[in-house]
Amino acid sequence: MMPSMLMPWLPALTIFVAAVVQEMALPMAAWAVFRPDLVLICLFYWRLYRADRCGPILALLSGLLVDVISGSPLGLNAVSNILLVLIISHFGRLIRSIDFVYLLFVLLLLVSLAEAIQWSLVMVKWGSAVRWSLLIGRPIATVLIAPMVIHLLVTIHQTWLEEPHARR
Amino acid sequence: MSALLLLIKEYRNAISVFITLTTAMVLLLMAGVTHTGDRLGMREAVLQLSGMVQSLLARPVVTVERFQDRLTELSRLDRENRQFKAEVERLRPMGIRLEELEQENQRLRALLQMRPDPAFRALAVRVVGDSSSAFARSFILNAGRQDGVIVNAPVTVPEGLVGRVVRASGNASLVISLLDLNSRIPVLVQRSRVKAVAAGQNGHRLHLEYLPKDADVVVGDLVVTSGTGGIFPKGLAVGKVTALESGKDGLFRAAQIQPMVDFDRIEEAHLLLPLATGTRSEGASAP
Repeated sequence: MMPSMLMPWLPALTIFVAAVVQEMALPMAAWAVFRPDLVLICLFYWRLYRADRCGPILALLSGLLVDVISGSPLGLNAVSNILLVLIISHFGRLIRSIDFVYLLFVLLLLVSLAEAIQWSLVMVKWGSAVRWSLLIGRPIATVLIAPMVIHLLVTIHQTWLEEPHARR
Repeated sequence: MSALLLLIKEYRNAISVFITLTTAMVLLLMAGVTHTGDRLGMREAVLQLSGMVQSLLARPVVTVERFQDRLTELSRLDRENRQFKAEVERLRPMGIRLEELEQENQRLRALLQMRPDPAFRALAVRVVGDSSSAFARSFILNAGRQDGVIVNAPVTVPEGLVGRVVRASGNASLVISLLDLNSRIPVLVQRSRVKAVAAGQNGHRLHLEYLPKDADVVVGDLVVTSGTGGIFPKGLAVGKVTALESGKDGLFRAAQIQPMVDFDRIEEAHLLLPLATGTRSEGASAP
């Protein structure tokens, strides 16, 4: 059984694991183009269903972690994560009410938006070229793998973060 | 103070968003100038950790890649093996042909070294057919009248006498071998110079007939042509005495001769053709 003091940190832990898997396990040649944004899926889920455990600070820290591991300009992912968390918070009620299939479409929009924010920041500051294949491949890969990751998060959520009576 | 705390509490979310976003933006703005991460020594540590984790995670991938490379290599080897096998199959008949030519070469060299009788010229011929039956031991040569072949021309190989031509067409001739039932050759025992007649029996041996009862003949004696009769030159090897038959009655005794020539293996031969028909004498001898 998981210690009760660890349970509130489960969202942060899942995001940390997602960042490590995303940036260390997947950056192989075969995954270069279709590399899903696992951190964003976790942020999306936890911000929607456990907003009290996933705020801007966690978004900042997870973004910094990804930046440090991936070697991106420090703060790039942090900025996009914080902005996405804000957007999810603003449209949370609406997003929660729609079907899962449409949820994937929303996720696709969010990942694309995150990519667009990062691309804009990079273009404004450095004006460097981007790898369009990666920019396009990431939203597709994220949406494709999202059902599996979300199912895992739902299981974690229901097993350790919900009261027994709430599960019914 | 409490009013400030209340204000902070009320706008807690907005404040945290502002602080975090500002922090992120400041870090981002600094990134290009100072390499914040580098200065903090974070990147190096993360790089090291990342390298360790990735090498650990990549190990199965590397193993699979090696396995894949090995499979590719085996596939290539298999393909090459098939190609080489096909090549061997293609070259095998050539090898057999080469062996055949080598043997033929040796036989022809031996044939060339055989010195013919001075009264004869040697014509190298090839055996092209075997017309033997239960009652005849004969074969066909690829030379006929057009090549100067005449009836009764002796046929020899390096080992000794084979037979004589009994029929000649334009470009082929029929040879009756020593073993044929109708073959009768005047011979003599080389050691004791005793004359006799070697007769064919349609078998694998010759029968030495008309051998005087008290003739000096022992097993192992070489029998050669005597030159009498005018057909065969003198001194051609015919065979060796293998058995003596004791004749109790009469004037003669008989013996069995093992021919010098292996009649089943003749492929080329010499036809001995007289240089001039008139010059052939009964006593013409082989060197």
